Amino acid sequence: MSLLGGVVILLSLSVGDAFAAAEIRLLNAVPGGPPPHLQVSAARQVKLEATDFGEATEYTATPAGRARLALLAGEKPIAKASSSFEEGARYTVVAVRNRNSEAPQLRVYRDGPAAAGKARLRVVSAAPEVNGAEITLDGRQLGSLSPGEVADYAAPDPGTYRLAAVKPDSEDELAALPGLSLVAGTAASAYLIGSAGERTRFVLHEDAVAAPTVGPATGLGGVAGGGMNWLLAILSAAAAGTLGGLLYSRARTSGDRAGR
Amino acid sequence: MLAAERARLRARGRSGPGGLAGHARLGLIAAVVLPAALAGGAVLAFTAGSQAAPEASVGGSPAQLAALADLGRRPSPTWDGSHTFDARAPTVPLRPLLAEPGRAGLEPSPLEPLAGGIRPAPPQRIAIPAADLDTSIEPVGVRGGAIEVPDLGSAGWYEGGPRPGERGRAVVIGHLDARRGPGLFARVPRLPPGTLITVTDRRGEVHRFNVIGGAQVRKNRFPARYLFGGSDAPVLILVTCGGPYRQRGGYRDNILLYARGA
Repeated sequence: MSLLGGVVILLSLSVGDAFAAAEIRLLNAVPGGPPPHLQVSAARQVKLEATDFGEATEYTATPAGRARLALLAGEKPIAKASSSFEEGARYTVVAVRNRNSEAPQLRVYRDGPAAAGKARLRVVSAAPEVNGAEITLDGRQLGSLSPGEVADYAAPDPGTYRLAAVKPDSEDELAALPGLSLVAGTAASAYLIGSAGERTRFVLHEDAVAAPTVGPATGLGGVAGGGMNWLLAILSAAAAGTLGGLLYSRARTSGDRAGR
Repeated sequence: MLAAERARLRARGRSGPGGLAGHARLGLIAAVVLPAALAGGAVLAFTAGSQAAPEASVGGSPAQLAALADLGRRPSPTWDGSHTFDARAPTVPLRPLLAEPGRAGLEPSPLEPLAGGIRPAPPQRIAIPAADLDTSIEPVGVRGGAIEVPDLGSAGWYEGGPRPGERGRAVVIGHLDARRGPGLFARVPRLPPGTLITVTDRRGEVHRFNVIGGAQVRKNRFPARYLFGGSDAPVLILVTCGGPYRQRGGYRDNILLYARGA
């Protein structure tokens, strides 16, 4: 009995664990070298595929809770960190070049949700050699960012904008993203990347989409004829029963007459 | 003589070989076979009720769906069909988001909405000349996790996403059929690539799209990530029902028809 109880508890724990998941992705902001991949060690080990400079992986489910992160070049760990992941939340792990050494560094950003009908955008500075940057959207200042910092999500109207990073107290543009399309129902992050001689630039990655999760029921069966066929089935069955009964009683009547 | 012959024949019919026994056997066989045949007919009629609706002109393989949804924007996400893609709705409250190492203490800076260029107005009508379709569009939201279904006489535009004519994937849904007979989108699953679709917005501006392909997906594994979100060009996705029909539960599938801004 106690064994059964133990099994039940273990099963319920594993089921609970299966649902307690967060989602993470890896953004590679380390220029040069082979694309690294990320290993997440928590209740279960998760490996995120290697990705090129400026690119991000798809979001991958990982157990919620405390986790150890290791950035691997081949099988060799080149950066380590630890972080906590909350159930149901999304995170971007950004691999950046350490400003003072060749070794990369991992930074973890919690990604925000999307809102139906609205466009949301935030900017993350992942360029260690850019000491400070004024971020503007169509010339309007979003904020001033140092390496590793992130601005809160802004909610401009959906549309097309020009995103730019300008040196503080100067008009020198560090990077620009003209034709930035902010789409209703999405949340996105623009990462300022570039170091070790790589051109400083923005890369945009979608964080979330406000979307229905169930397909619409846009059919009532008129083409398939389902409703009418039910009627046919019932009528056929009734006719079959009546006819069968008639034939059987007639056969019995004939038999009785013959018996007399 | 005649009466005697009749009596003889009657007696033969009752007691001769194949007389009473043959008659009763025939009756019993008829009593079993005919109802069985009719019951079979009933089953066939019921089965016919579960027949498949017209399917998309282009198959709905995961690779095709990914390619359609991708539209050249980013590397195609992979879909092996083994899991759903329904994005878990983030429930965390929004708050200042900072990198874990070296928190910088940056304060959020709320931004007033900007114009962002001239957006198309919300859609008003959709026309597909090849399908003899010209109908109004009503905005629809989400209820119970699913897109609200429009009235039978109009199409529904998912107002939580982009508007037709602007960058992003605009989704318009319509009925495949009513209880009796076809619905507005009855011919949508069979529209071939290249078919022209026009959407007229509330300012009277006409946005043109060309069909590039279609896909058929299970409703219970609705691939939301391939329908909603950004794209580099204006994209219109028409959604209706498809696949086998069951009296309980309706159509099993959804048909997705992708069209790109012309």
